[in-house]
Amino acid sequence: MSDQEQLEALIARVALGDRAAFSALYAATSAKLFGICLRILKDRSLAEEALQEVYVKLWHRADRYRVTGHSPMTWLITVARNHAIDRLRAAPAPTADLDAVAPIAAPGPTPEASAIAAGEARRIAGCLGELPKERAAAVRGAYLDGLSYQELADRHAVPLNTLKTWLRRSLISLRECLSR
Amino acid sequence: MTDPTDDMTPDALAAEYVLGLMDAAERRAFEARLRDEPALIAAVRDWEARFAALAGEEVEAVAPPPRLQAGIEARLFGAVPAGRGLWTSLGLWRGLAGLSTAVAAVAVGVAILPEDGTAPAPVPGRVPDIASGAIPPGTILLTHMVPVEGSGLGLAATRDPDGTLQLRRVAGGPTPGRAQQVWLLPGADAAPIPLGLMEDGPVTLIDPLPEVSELFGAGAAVAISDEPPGGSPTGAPTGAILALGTLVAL
Repeated sequence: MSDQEQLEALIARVALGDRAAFSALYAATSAKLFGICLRILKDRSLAEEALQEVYVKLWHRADRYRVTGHSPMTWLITVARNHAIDRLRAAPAPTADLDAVAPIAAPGPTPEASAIAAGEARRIAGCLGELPKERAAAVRGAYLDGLSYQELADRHAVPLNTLKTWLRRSLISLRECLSR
Repeated sequence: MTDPTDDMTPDALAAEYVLGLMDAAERRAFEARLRDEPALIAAVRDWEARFAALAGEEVEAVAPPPRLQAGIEARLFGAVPAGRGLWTSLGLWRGLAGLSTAVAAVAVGVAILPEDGTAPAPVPGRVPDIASGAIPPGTILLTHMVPVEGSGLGLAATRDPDGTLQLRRVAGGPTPGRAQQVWLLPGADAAPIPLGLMEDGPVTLIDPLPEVSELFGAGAAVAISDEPPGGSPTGAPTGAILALGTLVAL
């Protein structure tokens, strides 16, 4: 089995309440998800707390994994990253997980989503490379570091509205590049 | 200045949503749209996958402190006595036998020779070498595939006629800074019994107490768990199970 199939099998077992599978899933993925929490929260004890909450969430939500149409790592990273962002912003209303928003009968992954796999990281990095350097850094700062518009504006020393405009234009350019 | 969202494509809005850049009101409005617009859901999924791929590539993995896993399991499963938890897992593992669902798999071969020393004489030309798979007739043997944490930990275990349990590493090694503790799982309703710690070297010899020795038999199992240095502080397994073998008479 490929790594992806193994993770999918583990998630399926976790959805059935299999603690051994949960332990194996934790062993296989916790370092990456901890890295993501740590990168966003910048504080070890906050990241540790967030990681525990993430795995509690994963245990309870494993049965909804398939609805998302994601690959296992995409799903795991998305849950961890959204949770870390919510902790960071201390959001009163947490970011909805897509599986909770989407109806069960939502269409499966688009053909494009299916293609999003190993090569995707290189593709998006390549397309970010086509953006002006500062703008690519802003997109990375938003996703990887969880920076808000205000924080990005401060970091890049531009007015808030200017920052918003160029980040949004960057996203449109990025999308165009990715669909080429 | 006009609001730049005016000219934003739904796809760019989806990206902004995935990046977590919307304020609470924008987010609520967008999530309301998601319920009715499958195409928007697809756009969100695609952005999630792209950015997750980026994070998968560019964010360094950092091993969390080992105590976190216990904390998570305590939150989820409450203060279950570790022995009980292990047994719950054991039942599930038995169900998993033959399914390759593990992140990595381990073979644990356990062979038991009769305790009274009436081990059958080795058949000439057949060396009783568990690791090579050549087993003398009459030996009780088991091979079981189980999930394992980290790199594959392969073990072959034999029980000598004098009761000494001999565990040989055939794949994988010790975990730096951690102990690997050996347990006897005598039966479905009995708590695991600690047998000792694995040595770092290739062979570990364990001499169980006579009353423990009596519990070795078909249907019992031997497990290796990950523990703090010096072994489990509670007398019951506290860490992940690294390898497991059920004793089956052949």
